Amino acid sequence: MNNKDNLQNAFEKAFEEHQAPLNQAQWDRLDAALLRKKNKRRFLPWIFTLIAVTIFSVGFGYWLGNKSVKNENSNQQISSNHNITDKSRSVDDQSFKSQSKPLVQNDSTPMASSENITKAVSQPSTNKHSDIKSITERKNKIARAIRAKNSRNPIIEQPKLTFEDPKVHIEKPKLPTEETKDGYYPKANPDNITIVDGTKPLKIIDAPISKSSEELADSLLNNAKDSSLKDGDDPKKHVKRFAIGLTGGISNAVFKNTTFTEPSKMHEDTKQVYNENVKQTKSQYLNLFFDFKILKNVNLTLNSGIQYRQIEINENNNYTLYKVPFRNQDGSIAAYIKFPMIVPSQDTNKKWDTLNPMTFSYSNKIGIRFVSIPVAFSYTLPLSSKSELQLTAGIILNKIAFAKGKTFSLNTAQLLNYKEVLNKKGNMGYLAGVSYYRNLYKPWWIGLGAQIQQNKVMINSGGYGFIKSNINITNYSLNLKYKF
Amino acid sequence: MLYEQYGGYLMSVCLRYAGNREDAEEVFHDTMMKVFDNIRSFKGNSSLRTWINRIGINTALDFLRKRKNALMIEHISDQVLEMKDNPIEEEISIEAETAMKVLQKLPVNQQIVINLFMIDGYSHKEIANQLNISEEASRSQYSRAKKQLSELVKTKLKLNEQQR
Repeated sequence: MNNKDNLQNAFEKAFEEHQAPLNQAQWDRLDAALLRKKNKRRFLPWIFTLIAVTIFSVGFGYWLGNKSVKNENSNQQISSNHNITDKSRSVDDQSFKSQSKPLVQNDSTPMASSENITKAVSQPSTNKHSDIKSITERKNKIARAIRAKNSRNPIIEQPKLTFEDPKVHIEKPKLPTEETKDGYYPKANPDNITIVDGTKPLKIIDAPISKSSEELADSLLNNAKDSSLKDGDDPKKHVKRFAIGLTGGISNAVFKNTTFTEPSKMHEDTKQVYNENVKQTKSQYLNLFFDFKILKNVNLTLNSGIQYRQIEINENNNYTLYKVPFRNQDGSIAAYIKFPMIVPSQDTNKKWDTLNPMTFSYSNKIGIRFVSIPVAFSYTLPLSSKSELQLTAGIILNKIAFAKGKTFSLNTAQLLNYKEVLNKKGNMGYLAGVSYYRNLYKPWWIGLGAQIQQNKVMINSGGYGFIKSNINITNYSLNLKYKF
Repeated sequence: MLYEQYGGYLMSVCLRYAGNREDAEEVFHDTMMKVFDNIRSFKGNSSLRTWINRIGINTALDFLRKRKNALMIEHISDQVLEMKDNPIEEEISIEAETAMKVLQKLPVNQQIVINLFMIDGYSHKEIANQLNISEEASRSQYSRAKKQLSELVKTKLKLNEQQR
């Protein structure tokens, strides 16, 4: 048996069945750690469930609140519609006549002129059925019925009221010829109803609403118009109380402003190597967000949610090390020793070895996953009834959730696992952006956005302090929003 | 129970790589956590002992990278130095504790290569991948380490004989 086998066999045998003693403290520590982990695992889903339920409850609550407020407002607007006076317009009798149909129409009898009507009412009729008192009573009765009808059913589409009386003919009401309290809305006004004798059954038909009245009603229902908008635009349709959405897209991530926590310990080429390492990046992101309107009359919303981002870094570098740091005991660099250098040989056959500059060629793929919470304010600028521009600015709270791959560390001249050297402490950056939205279908809006944001990373150089860097990110996104 | 059945063996592996009890306990703890975390992903392609052994080795190497910067790329890594040594002619037997003590007298880099190649059966290709060095560098390190180890073992054996 040769030397290799003898030595190797001896060592293999020595450790083959070797069991090192374990102490109770070790087990206790392990047991406690496992228990903590188990509890943490049990607790985490609850936290996420709680957050989800809270977000949903808040959203649903506001949606419900908004809905009931909206209904209340609508009712108020409709019921007050009867008393609206639009001072910007004046309606003359003639124009109204041309747009509206007669209030009461007797199929067989031509319409009496207003002079005739007045005459008929003011002068006693020769007809044996005519009786001024009874006519007045009937007039009052009709007026009461109309009042009751108006107060019971305050809607724009007016109901039909039939009334048959062979003795009475109710003529078309007199309409206001100038600005009145009732405006030009053709509500049946008992004071304007003239009743004359008739011989045929009568029908009281409420006047249909004129086109101008419909327009007015629409505009009243949808609130006052913003002077900056075109016809039919409505700022309330743009900024609702609450909206949720999904944003996703690709990003351009650039590592900038590299600094060191302990510069005296870093090799002078560290920044150069690091910047070269993080040159090639790719990033994608997904953002689940909500918009909550803060002020009633301003299109300003609080924008928050949760963002998931992945950044891929392709490290491709050929670095030649010309200087080796000579360190003090505390790790700070005292001087550099330049290649080529002569060092004592470990080979017993020769005294010296010559060391030449070393070239490190490496190609690594690194992945970082961020989970972030943006907290921003958004201002919505309506462009038309179906499109809007949303400007956003705020902060973003970032946390590294996961990292994989290896990175070359110059100060230790080795490849380090990224997840082990990456400081996972949370950090804060800024974000700002603009999105263009277009109404897709009912409450659904689709948009395109561009946004800048800042994430930060901190990497342990392998015992010589941290390399800090900002990641300036430009996002290009496709957005989908649902407005409640 | 996993801890009782494989704990002692794993601790032995950890001691071999870490070199001292304190660090070995740290590595042991981390390894056991990983084992418990990933036990569901164990597919039975190898024995459970081998699987735990691999996790232990990887954890130990990571630990050494972080704590000791032990896996520095050697300046002479590109130079292949096959070294001749004086072979141990006869079959020998060493106790684990003695072997551990001898092993710890080697530089950390050499300890790792001896552990990986001689005791845990890794090939130079696997070592090269694991340590991010070339295969030649691994061979070179091993050659040098084995020579030193051989000398140390001989000395130890001589001392033992003299004591008897």
